[in-house]
Amino acid sequence: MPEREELGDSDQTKWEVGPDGKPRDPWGEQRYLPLLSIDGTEIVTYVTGSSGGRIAIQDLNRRYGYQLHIGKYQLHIGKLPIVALAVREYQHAQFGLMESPRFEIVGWTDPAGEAPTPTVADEMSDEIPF
Amino acid sequence: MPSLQRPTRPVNRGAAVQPNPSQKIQRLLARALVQRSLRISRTDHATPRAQKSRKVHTMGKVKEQLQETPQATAVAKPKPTLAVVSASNPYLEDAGDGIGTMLKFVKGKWRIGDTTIPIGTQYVAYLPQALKGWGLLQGRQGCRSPSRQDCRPLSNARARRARR
Repeated sequence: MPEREELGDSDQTKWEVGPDGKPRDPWGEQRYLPLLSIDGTEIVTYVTGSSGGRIAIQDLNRRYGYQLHIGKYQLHIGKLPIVALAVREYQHAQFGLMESPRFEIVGWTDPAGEAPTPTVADEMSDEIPF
Repeated sequence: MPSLQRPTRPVNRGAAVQPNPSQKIQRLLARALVQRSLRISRTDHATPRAQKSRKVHTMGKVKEQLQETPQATAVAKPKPTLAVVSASNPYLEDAGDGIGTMLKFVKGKWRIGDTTIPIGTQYVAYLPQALKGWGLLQGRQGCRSPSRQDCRPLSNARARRARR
């Protein structure tokens, strides 16, 4: 991902004025999260440029990484999380009660079929002939 | 005639002579070393019968045993193959270079276009294919991905890093 300075449009005097009265950067950081419906027929992409959306994806990434590699004895390696769309409420200092997106992990699925997930015992039970 | 007497050594009766602790330790170590060397020499010079009963594990004999026994050709148990996330990816197969239908969160509601998606709807999240990039805002019309011409040429070093 390039740095912001490499994109150009750095002259703030040419920027449009935002709702807060300050010049608004025409370039915004975007995130795209591909999602597949449970029956496998519908493909959507969650697109966000807001801080709340970024936090939602970062939070999902963090929980996904934890349960994938550290927690639950690595039971979810090679699997993808099934998420439920949710809403998180929080109190904003300026705007009061706000709502932001949230993804709740409700299960796991194996995109390449139901391959058996090796346990720690399987990993350690190599038969060495001597 | 004066009697010849052996001169007596002065004896310090007040304080008992204590050996230096370091000397004591050295003596103990030396004794232990001597005993250990004696034990080693005893086993080295053991009787032929004792030597026969002893099991000698040298690498040459171990290799010979492995070649003789059928277990030597046994293959180590293969580890179960882990599923690869990118093996089957309907998202990439269908969407290709595009991003498909856009799901957004607008004013507390999940929406696809004008349709509201109820809370609790479940999807499979393809997190390994999540993307991050820059979008160019177009007033109130939202954000679009910039064309290649909108971006400045990247340096060679950055292009190499991006290719990795």
